[in-house]
Amino acid sequence: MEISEVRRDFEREVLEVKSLEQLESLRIKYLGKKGIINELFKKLKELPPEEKPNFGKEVNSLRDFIKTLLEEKKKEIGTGRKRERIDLTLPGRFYSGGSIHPLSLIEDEIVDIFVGMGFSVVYGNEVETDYYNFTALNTPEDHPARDLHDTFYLKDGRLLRTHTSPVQIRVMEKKKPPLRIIAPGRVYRVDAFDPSHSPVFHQIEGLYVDRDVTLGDLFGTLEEFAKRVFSPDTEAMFIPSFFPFTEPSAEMKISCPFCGGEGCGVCQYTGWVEILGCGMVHRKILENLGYGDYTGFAFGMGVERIAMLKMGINDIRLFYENDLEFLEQFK
Amino acid sequence: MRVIYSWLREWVDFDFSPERLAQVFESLGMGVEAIEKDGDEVIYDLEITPNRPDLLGVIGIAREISAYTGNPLKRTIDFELQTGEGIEVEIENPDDCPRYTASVVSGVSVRPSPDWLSRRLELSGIRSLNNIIDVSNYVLLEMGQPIHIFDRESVDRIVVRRARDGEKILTLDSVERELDHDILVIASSREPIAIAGVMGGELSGVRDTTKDVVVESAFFNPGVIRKGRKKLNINTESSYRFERKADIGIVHIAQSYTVKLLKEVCGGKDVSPMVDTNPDYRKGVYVSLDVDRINRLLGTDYSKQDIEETLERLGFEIQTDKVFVPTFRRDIELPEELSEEVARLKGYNTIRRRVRTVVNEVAVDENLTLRKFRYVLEGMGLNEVKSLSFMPSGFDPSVKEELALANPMWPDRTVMRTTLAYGMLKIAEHNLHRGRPYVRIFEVGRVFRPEEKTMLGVLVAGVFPRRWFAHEREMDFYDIKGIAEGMLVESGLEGYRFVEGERQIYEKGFSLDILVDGERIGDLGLLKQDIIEMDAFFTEVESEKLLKNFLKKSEFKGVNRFPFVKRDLSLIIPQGVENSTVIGIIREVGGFVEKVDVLDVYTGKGIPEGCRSITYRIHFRYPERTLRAEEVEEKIERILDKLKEIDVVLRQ
Repeated sequence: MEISEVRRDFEREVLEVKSLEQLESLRIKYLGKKGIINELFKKLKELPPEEKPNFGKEVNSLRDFIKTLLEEKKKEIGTGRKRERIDLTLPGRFYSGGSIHPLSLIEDEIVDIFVGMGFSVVYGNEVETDYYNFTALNTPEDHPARDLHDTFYLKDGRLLRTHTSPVQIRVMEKKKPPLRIIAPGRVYRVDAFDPSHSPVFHQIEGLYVDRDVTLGDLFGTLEEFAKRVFSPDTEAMFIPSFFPFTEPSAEMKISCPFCGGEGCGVCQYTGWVEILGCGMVHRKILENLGYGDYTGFAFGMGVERIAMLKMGINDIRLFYENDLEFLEQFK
Repeated sequence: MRVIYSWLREWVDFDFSPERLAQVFESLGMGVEAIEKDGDEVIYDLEITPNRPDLLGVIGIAREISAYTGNPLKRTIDFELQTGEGIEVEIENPDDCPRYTASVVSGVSVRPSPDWLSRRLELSGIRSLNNIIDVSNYVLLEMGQPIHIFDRESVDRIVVRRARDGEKILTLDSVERELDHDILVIASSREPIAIAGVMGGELSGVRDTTKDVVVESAFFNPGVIRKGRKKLNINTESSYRFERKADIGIVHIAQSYTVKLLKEVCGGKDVSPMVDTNPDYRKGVYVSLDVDRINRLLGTDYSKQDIEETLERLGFEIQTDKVFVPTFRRDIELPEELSEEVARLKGYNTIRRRVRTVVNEVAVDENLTLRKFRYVLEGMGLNEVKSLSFMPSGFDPSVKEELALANPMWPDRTVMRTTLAYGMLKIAEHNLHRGRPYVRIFEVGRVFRPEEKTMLGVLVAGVFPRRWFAHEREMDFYDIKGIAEGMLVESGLEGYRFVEGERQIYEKGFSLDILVDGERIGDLGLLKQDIIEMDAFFTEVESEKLLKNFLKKSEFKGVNRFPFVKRDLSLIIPQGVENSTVIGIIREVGGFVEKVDVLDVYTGKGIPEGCRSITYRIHFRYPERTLRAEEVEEKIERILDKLKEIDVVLRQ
């Protein structure tokens, strides 16, 4: 019997082995006392002396080969734990997370951008006084700008802040410039609950006061923000506006995130959408706080607005209805 | 403000297409709400900011276009009335009415307006009534100056005064209004004939038979007008302009222009001289001009000459180191406001933009803490929600002081929430109605007790549906307790414990307070509610207290390599003895007990009536060496002896 023939037979037979019992009989057939390998060793004695060393080497190597393959086969079959075939297509015992509210996701994203530019996060109270919400922001009792804010009042005479801007005053009263803060939070206005209005919504206020802060700094910072929150090719445009607590004041428009400026329903075919109001902190406010030597910029943006533009959500009420089918789309 | 392209072209030359003009408006700070086409006419609906009353007239917008293009205004009002003795005018207080002009035009005839007049009004959004009223509105639209026209017969003389408390007037809208001393009126010798700057009286107004009229063009104190009209709850084209500070310098021009139109359009014949209570209106308003400061604020390097020329184009007069502010721009009071004018005309988008980066203070802030913890809750499979901040009064009897709204939006939600439970229940209700079998939601939000606190709330309710590997199961108290325990473990707080709670938003006997160092940081339980039919379980914890250690670096305490010795005890526990008492004894007597698991709770066959059987698995471990079996056996004996004292015995 030729060695190569034995090898071939073994290779074929080992493939057919399905159980430990079959494996054992195969082992006996080849490696047992009266097995094929021992038969070959017996044959060795009959060979002429010059062929012995070579033949011996080959038989040894065949024996090692068979041993190794039998070991592998044994591992493959297993240690004897009995397994039955399972239906791999049944659904798993599902482990999953919940969801994060889209307004939280966007707020976090915006906060991260400004934190990356050196801003710190602070919070203000939702119940405010008339003084901090209006008067200290250069909007005295008879100012027509108050008409733009339909205010919720409390019976004790205080009010629910109509914007996050009171935080500007609160922070500046406590801490001297240089100051760089952003203040996310909930704000309130008496507004119908319709696709674009909600009596409760969220804003993020920004404030940077230092020596020689310029309008150019404001525009540059916000342009950078827009590129990061929307896309690097977003363009920013500033148009003059009016807020009692900033001078000069501006509104920022960005190239429409939906059509990229081509014109679509979202941007009313203008190619631009308005996303926030901003300006240089009004001189009167800085002087009232004793910071006449400083300049600063401030901005305020609606979180819902940014979220709607970024995620393509067309009804602000979805954020407050909290339908799980809506919420589960955000992770 | 609606403005017609062709009307603007009468005042100033420009060669912008209608679309390009819209861009020019925007770059100057007039938002374009809509562009409409009507026949040959193009009409813009402009959003005018409250600081720019001068843009509430065609002439003001034309001045801006003139400044933008450098083309001068091409029209002037070429008719000026002579001042002199006319109708008697008495001003009670010049602060209320700094300037008043009046003239009498006789022989008018009241008719429908000619087409050009009625069409312009209607394109501008004002209904055409008759030629006299239309003329006054036309002047309002063109000059931005409100004009009032009285029937001469009801006006023997004019008195501008505060109303007397209780005085009444029937206004043009046929409403009788009661007046008081906050309201400024125009009166005859007998009675008020108009609410100054707001609305005329019906009895003194122009009617079909009117022959002679008195024309009023005045400047009223903006604050007085605003206060009065708010009190009366009226808002008119006239009050809208006066309360934003109209142009005191255009008063006599508008008067002359009105009279001219009354003659041309309404057949007016004789005209009295114009009475003017303040011909000296052009009192100096100056603002200092500091070129350096303007550049520093804008981040620009405009030359002095450049800045001066820019301001001159806008109508400011340069006088060495200060500028004279024209009467139509009395919104300008500060040098910073001049910088906006410069930037606006130069173009905001020509300013070089710059980003400065600065290293911020290192702070472990509330934002980072809350945000990371939200992901812990999300990882537990909870969905984050955001509910509105209002709830019904009395929903949370555990809080004595509620913050009540003076003007609530919904009659059933009149106070600020003192718990997140109400809003979350409404969200659960919505989702269960939509066919969801269960909800597991969390919210991070402020409550008002009455001081503001940020709370973390979790609400679970409903039924886990049956699956091939699990039975259907209704959520119960231990779901919410387990979530609360998970939150506490994840927070890194040590030494928390639960005691039976009393908070009245929960059903009695179904709630726990969460204590840390003896301080109550939150609670949990079965909500007392009738919003959803199923049981709703809720927990609410003060985030500041729960998360005070959350972001602290964890400390390595070593790993105990010695094995546990585990012993299971099945105990029969009489009524009135609680699990926590039994575990307390096991831990106290057992010495080195590291953990006690509850393996099973059983009542029924083989257990005496009223008793429960609970099986515990006690994990013993000693930090320095392996425990010997006989040591553990001895501890077990002692535990059982101690438990016998409260009638807890080993189940045989």
